[in-house]
Amino acid sequence: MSVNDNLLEVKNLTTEFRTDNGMLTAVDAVDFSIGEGETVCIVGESGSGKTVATESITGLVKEPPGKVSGTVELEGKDLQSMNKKELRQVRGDNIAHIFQNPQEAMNHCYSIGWQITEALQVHQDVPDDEARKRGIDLLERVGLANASARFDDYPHELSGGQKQRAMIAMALVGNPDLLIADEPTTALDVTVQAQILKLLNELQEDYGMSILFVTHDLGVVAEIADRVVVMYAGKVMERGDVFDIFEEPSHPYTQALMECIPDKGRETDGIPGTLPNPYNTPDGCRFAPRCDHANEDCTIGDQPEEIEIERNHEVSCVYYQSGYDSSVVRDSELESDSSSTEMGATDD
Amino acid sequence: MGMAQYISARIVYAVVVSMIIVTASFLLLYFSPNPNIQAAAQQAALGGENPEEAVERVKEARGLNDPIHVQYMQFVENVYTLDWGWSETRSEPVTDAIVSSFKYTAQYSVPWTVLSVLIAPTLGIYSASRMYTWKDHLATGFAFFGYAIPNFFFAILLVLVFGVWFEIFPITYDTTVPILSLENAWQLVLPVFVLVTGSIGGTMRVARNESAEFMNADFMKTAKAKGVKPTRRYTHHVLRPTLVPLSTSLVSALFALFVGASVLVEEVFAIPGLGRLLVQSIISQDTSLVLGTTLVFTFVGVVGNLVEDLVFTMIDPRISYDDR
Amino acid sequence: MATEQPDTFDEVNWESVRSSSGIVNLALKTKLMLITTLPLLALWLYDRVAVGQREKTFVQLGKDLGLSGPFETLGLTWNPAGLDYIFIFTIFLFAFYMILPLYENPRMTRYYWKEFKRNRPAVVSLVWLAFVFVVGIIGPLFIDKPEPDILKSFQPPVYATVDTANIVQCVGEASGGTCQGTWQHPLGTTGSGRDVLAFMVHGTTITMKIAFITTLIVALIGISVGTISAYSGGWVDETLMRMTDIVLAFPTLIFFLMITYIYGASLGLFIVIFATFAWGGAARYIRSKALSVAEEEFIDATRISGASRYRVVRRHIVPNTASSIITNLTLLVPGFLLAEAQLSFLGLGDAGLLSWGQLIASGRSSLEYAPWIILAPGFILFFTILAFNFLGDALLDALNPEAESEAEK
Repeated sequence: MSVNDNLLEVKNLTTEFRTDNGMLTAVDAVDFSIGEGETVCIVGESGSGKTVATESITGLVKEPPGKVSGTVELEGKDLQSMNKKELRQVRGDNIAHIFQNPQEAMNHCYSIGWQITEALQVHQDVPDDEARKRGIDLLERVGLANASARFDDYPHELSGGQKQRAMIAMALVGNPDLLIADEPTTALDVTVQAQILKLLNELQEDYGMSILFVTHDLGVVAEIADRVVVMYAGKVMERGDVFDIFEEPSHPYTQALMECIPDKGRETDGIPGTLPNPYNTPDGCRFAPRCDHANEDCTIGDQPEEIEIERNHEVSCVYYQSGYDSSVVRDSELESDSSSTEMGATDD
Repeated sequence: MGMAQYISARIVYAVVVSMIIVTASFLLLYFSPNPNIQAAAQQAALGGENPEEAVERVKEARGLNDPIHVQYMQFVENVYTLDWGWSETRSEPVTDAIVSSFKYTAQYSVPWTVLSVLIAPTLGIYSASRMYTWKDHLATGFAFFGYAIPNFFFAILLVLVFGVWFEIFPITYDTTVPILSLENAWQLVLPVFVLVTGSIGGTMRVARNESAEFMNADFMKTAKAKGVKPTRRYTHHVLRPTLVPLSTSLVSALFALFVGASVLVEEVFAIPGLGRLLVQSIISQDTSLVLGTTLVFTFVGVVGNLVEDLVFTMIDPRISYDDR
Repeated sequence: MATEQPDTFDEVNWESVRSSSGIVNLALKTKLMLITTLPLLALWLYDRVAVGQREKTFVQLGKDLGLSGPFETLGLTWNPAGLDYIFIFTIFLFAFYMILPLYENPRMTRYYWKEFKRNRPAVVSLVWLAFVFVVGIIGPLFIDKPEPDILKSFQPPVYATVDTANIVQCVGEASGGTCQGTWQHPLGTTGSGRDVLAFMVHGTTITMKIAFITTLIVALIGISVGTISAYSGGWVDETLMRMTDIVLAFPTLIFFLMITYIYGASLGLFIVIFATFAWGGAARYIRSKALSVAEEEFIDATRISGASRYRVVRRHIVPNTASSIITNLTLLVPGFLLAEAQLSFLGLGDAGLLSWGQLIASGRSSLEYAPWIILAPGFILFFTILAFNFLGDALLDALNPEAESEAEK
C-alpha cells in the first residue's frame, strides 16, 4: 500500500498501564493505516487490545495509569506531539468516536440535543438556534423519526437503537474525517445491528469519511470492511483486504476465528484456551499456547515479523518464513473445513 | 404519578408534618405547668390577695378554662395567622423579636450558605479527579476534620487562638457597626468559617464519592472524544449527575446546621440571632417566645425537607415519581 | 450451639446442632445473659422496693445481708440509679452478643481482623474507643467524684501557670505573681475547684452511657420497624415508612429544648428523647437491606418449608442485615455525644451531671485565663467523635467491598 494518501498512519503504537500488579501491556508495537474513505476493521476477541488501540489514537486513554508511545499521524500531522488544545480540536473536528454501549456513553442528565450540539458549542462557537437546526438535521439524517421533537428528549426516553443513532449524530456534528466506531452494534438487537451498519455505510458515502471499526464479530466485518486487521493479545496477527482474509485466512488465529462464525451450520466451541496473562506475555508468537501447529520456534524470541504472502496481505506466523512449509498451516484450514473435530483431536 | 401530582403530594405532606409538630407543641404546653399562672399566684400571695382567685382570673383572661378542642383550634389559628403572642422578657410581640433577631442570623447565614454550596462540590469533584493523590488525601482529611470537630468547640478554639492570643479578630459580636461595613464583615469571618468547615465536611465527601463514580463513566470518554475541555467535563458532565445525591446531602446539612450549630455559634460569638433568642427565652422562661422561636426552626426544617424533594425532581430527569 | 467450634463446614456435628434447639441447650450467650441479667433485675427490684430514697443501695444491701463490715472494707457504697441498671444491661448485651461470638469464632474473627487492620486510622480509632470504654467502666471505681472546693479554683495543669490574680489560693508554688501547676491536679481544676482529670473520667462514664443506651434503643426500634416494614409490605410498610419520614423530619434538638423548658433537663430524658427520634435513618436503611435480603431465594425456601414469619425475620433477615445495622449505629453515636455536649454548653443540660459537655460549659467564662478547662475535654470529645466516624467508615468499607473496588477502577 502507498503511504502517501493515507489519512491516518499509526506506527509502533504501544499502550501500557501501570497497575498494582505491575506493568500491563495492552497494545504492543502495533502499526496500521487508514486511507481516505476507507473502512478498516480491527478484529479480535475481547481483551485483545483493540479498544485500547483505537482509544490511544486520540489520547482517550487515561494517563496515568496509561502510557502511550509510538506515532499517530493524521494527514501527516503527529498527534502525539500536539499540545492539549490542538488535540482537543482534532477530537472534535477530525476524529470522532462512537462507543459500544450507547446507554452508558450518554450523560443521562442532558438532552440528546444538548449532547449532540455540545461539540459545536465548544469548538466553533455556533449560535444556539443554528446549532439546534444542525442537530435536528443530523438526527433526521441518522434516521430518527420526528427529529425536532426528539431533540429535547433525554437518553432514557430513547431505545437502544435510537440512542446509537443519536450517538452517530453526535459524532458527525463536526464533519469528521475519521469515525472510530468501537463495537457500535454489539449491544444492539440483530435487526437493529443491520440497520446501524447500513446507516454507517450510507453516511460514509455521503460524508466521504473513513471509518475505523472495532469488532469481534466477523459477520459484521464482512458487511462493512474494506480492509481487516486481526489483533490478538496486543499484537497484529494478520492484515489484508477483506476478501483475502475471508478467502484465505492464513494465520492459525484468523482461521480459528473463522471457525467461530456460527452460521457455518455446525456447533462451535470457540477457541480452546484463554488469552495469555497480559502481565507476562509468552515469548514468541502470542497465540502459540493455543495454536495447534505451534512448534519450538513459535515459543522463542519475539512475535514473528509480518510477512507479505500476497499483495497487501501480511501474516505474522513462523510458518510463512523461509525454511518452513506454509502448507502445514494452510492445509489444516482446508482439512478442518471437512472435519471440524480434527482440530480438537490434535489439541493437547 | 406525574410531576405536578408528585410536587403537590410533597407539599401536602409538608403541611401534615407541620401540623403534627404544632399539635405536639400544643399538647406539651397544655399538659405542663404554666409559668404565667404560677407567677400570678405568687404575685397575688405576695400582695395579700387570694392566690386561687388570681389564678382563675388569669386562666379566664387567657382562655385556659375553655375545653381542650377550643383551645387547640385557637392555638392553631394563632400559629398560622402569625399571632404568636407577647414576649414578656423583651416587651414586644414575639414576631417582632423574631424578625429583629433574624436580621443577625441572616448576616452570617447567607455568606455561609453561599460559600458551602460553592466550595463543597468543587472540593469534592477536585478530590475525585485526583483520587488517591496527596491532594485528595489533604482535601479529604480537611473534610473529615470539619465533619468531626464539634462546631462550638472549633469556634471556641478559634476565638482562643485568633481572638484572645493573637487578637486578630474581635471576641464578641458588636451590634453597633453598620451591616454593610468592613468591620461587620471582619467580625463575621470566624463564625462563617466555623460553619463552612462544618457543613462542607460531609457534603464534600458525598460529592467526592458520588462524582468518583462518574469520573470514569463512559460518557466522560464520549465528552473527551468530542474535544471537551477537562474543566467543562467536570463542571457539566460530572457535576450535574453528582448534584442529584449531593443536593440531598447539601440541603440537609445546611438545614441541620442552621437549626443546630448556628445556635451554638451564636452563643460562642454572642451574635444576637434566632438561636440566641431561643436559648435566652428558655433560660428566662418566656413561654410565648420559646414557642415562637421553636416554631420558626421547625418550619425552617419542614420547608428544608420540601425544598430538598423539589430540587431532586428538577435535577434528575430520570426520577421516577412512583418510587418515592 | 456447642462451645467447641468446628473449623470447617464438614466437621460440624449436625446432630448436636439440630438438638440444640431445645430449651436446655440454650446458646452460651443466652445462658450467660440470663445468669447476669437475673441478679441485676433482682437488685433493681430490691432497689425499687426495699431501699429508701435517701439510702445508698449497697449500704442498705450490706445491712440487710448482714455484710456491712465486708462491704465497708471493700468500699462498696455504690448507689446505682435507673440508668445505671440499663447501662449495665447493655454492656452485658454487648459482651455476650458482640464480643463473645468473636471469641467463639476465631477463624471469622481473624478474617475480620485481617481485613480491618489494613485501615490504619480505624485501628487507632478502635484502640482509642477501647481505652475510653475501659476508663468509662472502671475509672469511677478508682477515682472519686471531683468535689467542688472554692479554695482550689482555677489551678493550672502541671507545667502550666496562671496569674495569681485569677485564683484564690495556689496549691503549687507561687512566685512572681504566677501559680505553678502540680501533679495533684495534672489537668488543673475548674472555677469551682473540681479536678479536671477526675471530672473527665466520670464524664467518660456518661459518654459510654449515652453511647450504649441510645444505641440499644435505636437498634431495637430501628430493627423492629425496618424488618417488619420490609417483610410485611402493603399498608403496614406504607404506614411505618411515613412514620419514619416524620421522625426523620422532626427537629429533635428543638423538640428537646421545649421538653427541657417544661420538665427540666436530665440525662435519662436526653437519652430517651434523642433515641426515640433517631431511629428513622436506621429503620430506612435496614428496610432497604432487608428487602434485598428478602428477595434472595433462600428466604423463599425457608418460608415454603413452613418457617414462621417471626422465625424468618429473627433467624434470617436480622443476621443478614447485622453488619449494616452495626455500621449505621456506629455512625449515629457521635451525633448523640455532640448533642449532649452542645446542650450542656448552652446551659440547657443537667447542670449536676459530670459530663464532658458540662466541663466544657464550666470553662466558658474563664476561657481567657483558664483555657485548659475547655481544651482538655474538648479535644477528648473531638477525638472520640473522630474515632467513631473513622470506625464507621472503615466498617462501611470492610462490609461493602464493591464500593472499594469501584473506587479503585
